[in-house]
Amino acid sequence: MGNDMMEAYLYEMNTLLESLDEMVLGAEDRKTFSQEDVNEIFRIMHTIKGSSAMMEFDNLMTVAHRIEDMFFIIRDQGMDAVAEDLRPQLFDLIFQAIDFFKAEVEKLENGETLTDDIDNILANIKSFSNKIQGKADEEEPAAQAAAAGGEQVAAADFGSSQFPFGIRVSFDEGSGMENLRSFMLATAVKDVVDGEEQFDFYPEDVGTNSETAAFVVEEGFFLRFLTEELRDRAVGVVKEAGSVADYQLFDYAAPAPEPEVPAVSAAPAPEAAPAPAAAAAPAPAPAAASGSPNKQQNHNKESLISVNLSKLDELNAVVGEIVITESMVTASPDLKGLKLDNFTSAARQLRSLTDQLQDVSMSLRMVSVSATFQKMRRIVRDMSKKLGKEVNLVLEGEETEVDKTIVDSISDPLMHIVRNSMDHGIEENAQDRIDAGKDPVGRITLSARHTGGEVIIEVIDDGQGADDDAILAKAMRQGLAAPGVEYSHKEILNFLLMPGFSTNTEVTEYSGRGVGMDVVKSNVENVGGTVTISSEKGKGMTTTLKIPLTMAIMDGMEVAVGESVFTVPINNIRQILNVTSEDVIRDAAKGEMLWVMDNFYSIVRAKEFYQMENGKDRFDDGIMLWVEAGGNSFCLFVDELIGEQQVVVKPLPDYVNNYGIRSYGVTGCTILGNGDISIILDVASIFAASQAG
Amino acid sequence: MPETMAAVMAEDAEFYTKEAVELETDKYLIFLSGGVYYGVDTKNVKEMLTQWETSITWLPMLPPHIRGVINLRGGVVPIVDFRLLMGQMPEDKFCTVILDMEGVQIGILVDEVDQTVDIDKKSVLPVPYQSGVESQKMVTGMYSLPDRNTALMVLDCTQLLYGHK
Repeated sequence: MGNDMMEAYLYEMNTLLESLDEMVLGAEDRKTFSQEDVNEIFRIMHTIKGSSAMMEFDNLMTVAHRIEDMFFIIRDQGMDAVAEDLRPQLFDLIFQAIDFFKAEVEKLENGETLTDDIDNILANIKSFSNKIQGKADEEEPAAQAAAAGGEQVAAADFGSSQFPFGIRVSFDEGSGMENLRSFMLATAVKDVVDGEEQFDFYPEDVGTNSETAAFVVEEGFFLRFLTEELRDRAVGVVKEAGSVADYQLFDYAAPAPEPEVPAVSAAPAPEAAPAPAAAAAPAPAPAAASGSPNKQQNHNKESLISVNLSKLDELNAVVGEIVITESMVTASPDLKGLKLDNFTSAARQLRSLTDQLQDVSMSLRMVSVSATFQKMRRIVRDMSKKLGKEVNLVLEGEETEVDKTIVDSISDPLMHIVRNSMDHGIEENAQDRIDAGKDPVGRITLSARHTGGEVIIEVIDDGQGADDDAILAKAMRQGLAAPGVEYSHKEILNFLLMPGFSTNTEVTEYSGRGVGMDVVKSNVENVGGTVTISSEKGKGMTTTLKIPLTMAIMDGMEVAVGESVFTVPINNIRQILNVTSEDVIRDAAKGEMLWVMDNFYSIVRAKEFYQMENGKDRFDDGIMLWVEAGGNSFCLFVDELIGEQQVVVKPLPDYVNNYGIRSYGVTGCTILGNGDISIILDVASIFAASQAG
Repeated sequence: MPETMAAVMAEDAEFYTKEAVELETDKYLIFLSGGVYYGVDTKNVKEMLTQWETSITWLPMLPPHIRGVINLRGGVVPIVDFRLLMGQMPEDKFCTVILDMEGVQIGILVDEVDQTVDIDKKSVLPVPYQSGVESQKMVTGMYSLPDRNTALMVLDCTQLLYGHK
């Protein structure tokens, strides 16, 4: 089985499940499925069934098939078939199925074996199908049979006492317009059997009702005759007719008088064959949708293609190289002192084109946070049911675009924060909220927005907020806080982000599974971001993630220390200062500080920090960078400024990363125009290391 | 430089194919470091650079044997001074051998590169155990060089890349 096929399958499944999840959540809010929803679910299940069969994932195929059957009933009879009081059950059932599919897809992604244990979910579907069938119209034997039965609906079910001799015809896989083909066939048969009194066919409205196409694909087209002799004549016509894949003879109410009859049940029903289901998948959907004007649906999807992420990375790497090479060429030392008008103007144009190219290639990796946010809807929905808390999830700035790697890396942290808010943030009882003068329905807001080079993602709940005393007591017990020390509100909240801290004493299903906010913090820090918490007791809590928009290209300030060149991200530089030794204040422990804008900031000498041999020692000779990262601010002393440059961030080889240089702020490097390597400094890590050392 | 090496290897290959080929042999690149001959499997040798082609960028907070990183046509490759790694005396003169193990690259600074030689797998002998010699971990076998009356230390590139921790 091709890897590409598997990849395509997983991609398709994930996309389908995501849109299904979103749609069902929307429908649950409205407490009903619209006809469009039902058609869409039917279509999705049909596609899942088809492609799963093709990949030979039988369990997925079976479950999808049963749900499809169930929605066949609902589609035929409308949502009225499902009583109001049964609807919550229906939603739960679909969510259960979605979860099942998602879990199986995840197993496939991890190369694990699929579960065979689908009896539980099948039983649920079946019992629900039976419930709505209780209300189902007796005139719909097809729907009932499809719902109650498996794939092997005996053709005899479609027999008729009036016309006991039948032919079951199935058409070529994916031939399309099965209903019309059936109608043409019936017309042709009419000619050879001398009139329409001699026979009938089922479904009888194939000529006028395009929805019967799906039935014909699934079950076949049934011709029934008065006498065996008439049937034999018709067989000749059926044999000659185009697109007929197969046909079987059957007799009404005859257990098994003819050798052909067993062949009926043994014959592969269309859904068991992989290709037809997949190929026919588009057919029933348009047919079903033809009644309702929803033609614009899915148009936006068709203008998208999916590209392997590694190809994008490759493209970005090459573009990065082009940008560097371009400046190597246009700023080549060989050109010094030459007057080259044509060259200069061509170089200028090249520059603007490479800039454009870079912008485009960067934008390729940008995706909106919408999908990630939508996932949280589901979590809030499940937890509010489970915990009996009513909560509204408000999404703001869903359309904000960030780098794909960032979207991937914030998904888990967000989930964790939202769970925390649901579990610990929102009050246990609505009465507590009313007493506190709040809306009885809790509110969690997820917001995303851009500011400069960062994307800011906030999770705001209006719950009970953080209890400083409880947190401090807990921190003491965990040995994180020292007794007798006065901690500020901000410091106390910081305990929440420390490893080994979990404010809930007992482990609940959703949060406090041994992983805490420290994991959130480290995940976010891995993509160069920061996490801060603010909270007021009784008012709620806000968790803020600040993440650089993209990690691949950034504006840097090149600085020299001794013989080395470092890159300091421009984002982190607050000010560049020329200071004299007199400006520097020394404390008793020889710590050096600088008075800037009404505040004292400690000085880190890059030369000493990195234990370098060469470099300037006197403040008068060098230059001071006032930098800030993650709410911490300090001054970094270097020899000289080289200049501002846009740089392509390259990771350092693992061989050197293994020595823990990251914790000293050496997080990456970049190749300069002249081919030299400059070390990119992470200001936050330098601060942490300088405090520790 | 890579061309010359390819030429040397091709010449050698021509020479050796005339001999008995039923022996299971591996081609090794011999280099000299601190007066000792070492051999690495040529499968792992990507290219060789002279001293003048190697402009090493120093990185802070690393043990002395890691000299830094170089820009190898846009790739960032760590450079290890093999002599310091082996506990030998440092020298100013060097030649850089770039090793590549399934896409992971590392450069080692050695005194000089000698030649390639075919070694029969069976005649690679185990290294006698000497306790406390850390650098020995990277040497997986010894081979007696017939024409030189000296021993060759067979290096394990995987150990070199991942064995330090």
